[in-house]
Amino acid sequence: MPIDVKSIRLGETGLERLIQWLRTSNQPQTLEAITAKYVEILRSLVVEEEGR
Amino acid sequence: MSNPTNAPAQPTWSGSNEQQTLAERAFNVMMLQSAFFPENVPVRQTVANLAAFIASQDGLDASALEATISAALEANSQIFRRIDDGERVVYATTRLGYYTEPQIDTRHTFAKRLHEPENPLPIDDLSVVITRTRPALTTIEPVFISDYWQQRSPTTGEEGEIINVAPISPSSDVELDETFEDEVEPVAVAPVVVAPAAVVEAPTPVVATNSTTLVLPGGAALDFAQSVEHILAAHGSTIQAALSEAIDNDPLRRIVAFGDEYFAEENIPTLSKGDLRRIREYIVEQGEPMPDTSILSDVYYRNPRDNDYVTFRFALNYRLNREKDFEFVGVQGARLWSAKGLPAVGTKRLKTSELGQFYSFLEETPHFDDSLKQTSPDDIKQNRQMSRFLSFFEWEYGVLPYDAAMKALLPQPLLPEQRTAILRIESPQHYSFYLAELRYPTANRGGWLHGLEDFFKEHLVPGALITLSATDDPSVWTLQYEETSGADVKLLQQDDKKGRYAFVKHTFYCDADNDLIASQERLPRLKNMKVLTPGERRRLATTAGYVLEQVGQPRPGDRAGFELSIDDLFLGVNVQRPATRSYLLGELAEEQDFFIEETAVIYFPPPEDETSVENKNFVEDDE
Repeated sequence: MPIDVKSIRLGETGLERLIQWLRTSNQPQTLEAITAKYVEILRSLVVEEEGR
Repeated sequence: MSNPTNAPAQPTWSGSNEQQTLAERAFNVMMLQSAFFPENVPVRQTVANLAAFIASQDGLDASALEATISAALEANSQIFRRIDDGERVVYATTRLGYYTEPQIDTRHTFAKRLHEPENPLPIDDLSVVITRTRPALTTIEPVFISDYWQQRSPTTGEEGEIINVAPISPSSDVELDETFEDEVEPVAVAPVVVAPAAVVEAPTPVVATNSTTLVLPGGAALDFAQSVEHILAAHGSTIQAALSEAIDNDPLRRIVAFGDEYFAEENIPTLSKGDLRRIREYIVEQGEPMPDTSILSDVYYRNPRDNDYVTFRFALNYRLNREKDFEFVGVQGARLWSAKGLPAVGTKRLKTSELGQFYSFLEETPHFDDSLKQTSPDDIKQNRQMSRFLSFFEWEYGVLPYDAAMKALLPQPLLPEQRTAILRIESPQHYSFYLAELRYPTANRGGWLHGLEDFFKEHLVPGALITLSATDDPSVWTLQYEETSGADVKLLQQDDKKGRYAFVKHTFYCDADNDLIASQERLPRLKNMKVLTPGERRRLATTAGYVLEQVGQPRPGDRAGFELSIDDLFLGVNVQRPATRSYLLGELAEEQDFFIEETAVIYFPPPEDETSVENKNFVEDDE
């Protein structure tokens, strides 16, 4: 199912994936690092779906 | 109605007397056989077996008895069901006293009750569900739901992510039932002539958006087609704030933070009560707050080269921070932990609430903080040191104010709710060190650094110039002063027993500002001045009035008053309580009993009755 960019809510959409990444990273991360990863997740949700 | 004792029923027998007796005996044998059967489960027995049992009891021939038993059971067919499977004849009945087909009750199977709750919770994401019960340790463990519910959830996708269901659009391939559609006749619409509008609307700002652009609450456009670096540079702070807020507000607490580090709660090891006890005993045994690295090495024998060292270190800090017997007293780069049972750091002669009130002016009226008059915060941060003159109050109690200059130098609290930090103040000149407690300001109370009483009293005098410098360890600082040849002075001392000040001969070896040395030569009338109670000292005007009465020169005239130079008043007030020069003059300027001239302050005490009332109030405050 494609993700409409308008339905994205910052801090909520994609949070599960961020948590999953944090689990697998297996070490604490700074807020800057998780923010960068979160943007990457959101971007992949939108751009990849857009590219399909 | 079922029999709760599981005793067999007592049926009514048919047939001749002999048949009734035989049928009852056969029934009793089968009831013994089914003693542990449910009441509706059939018990089966062959005629041959029944005949053999009864014949053995009566001493008869079993083969001759079979026909008689068969006849007796047939005469009671309402009780016994004859089942002929081709090879043998079996009679069956139940403890209910009649035959019934066995029924398997699937309403209460264990598997069904485990996987299919009667009233499942309304949950969006079925992959992770949190229990409502609170475990002994304050951790929330996720409970995974069976595949049954996950398959039935239409909104659960991979990794438990909620998928937004696209609304059905008119262009969807949905066959519409046209049966109920009525043809609508075209309606003739009269042409409307619209006059050209005279008012031209102001153009509204339009954010150009496309399918990859998200309009943020502030109106800015976040285009996901751009690179991650570009997005972070343009909107990093907005996203960071939103993410931080979402993490803080997450009821499941799936991501937790300690300081500036974040981690998945699920991956954080727990500490047992035994662990906590061992850590507390270790800290108390050391006699001072200990860094997390020392706890890891000395209590857990952990090595920084261990694979899970970083994870366990985070867990230690995060878990200890949630325990009431431990208090975080560290700073960025040095995570120190204090435990219940450690001796308090700092002066005990004044309560923390009293010190907080003395320094409250630094927070409530920051424009009276003149600590940055001689230098700027940037210079302090760059040089990583600052110098200042000690006042008598600071020297007497071993306290330094947490003013703007100190804020620029000393570390900020690492945790939002952190109240204190323990710093190690080293004296390279004397090869000694002192533990000092940095009290961060709260809403209406100022902050201060205390614990330097011994050092100040031993090596310094009021008015001494000290320099506080940072070291490579963020929790270790050096305190230095300029050494000089010895100088004798009759120095003011606070006599706590008598509650008064007195001059005592003293030799000191440090560079000091003579104007700030509370000596007999400098201000002899300080002798025998009363040590005001904290309640009296709390109000600056009262303290200044008392000092003026004790030290000032009486003024002749209709209204008796006292006059004192600003420098002397500043010195005298700082014997009793801390105050900056601007704070002293600013406060007294608003008091009608004080008159500030160019170099002096004049004080006209209020009439005696008002003073007595005021003093009474102070007594009540102290009580």
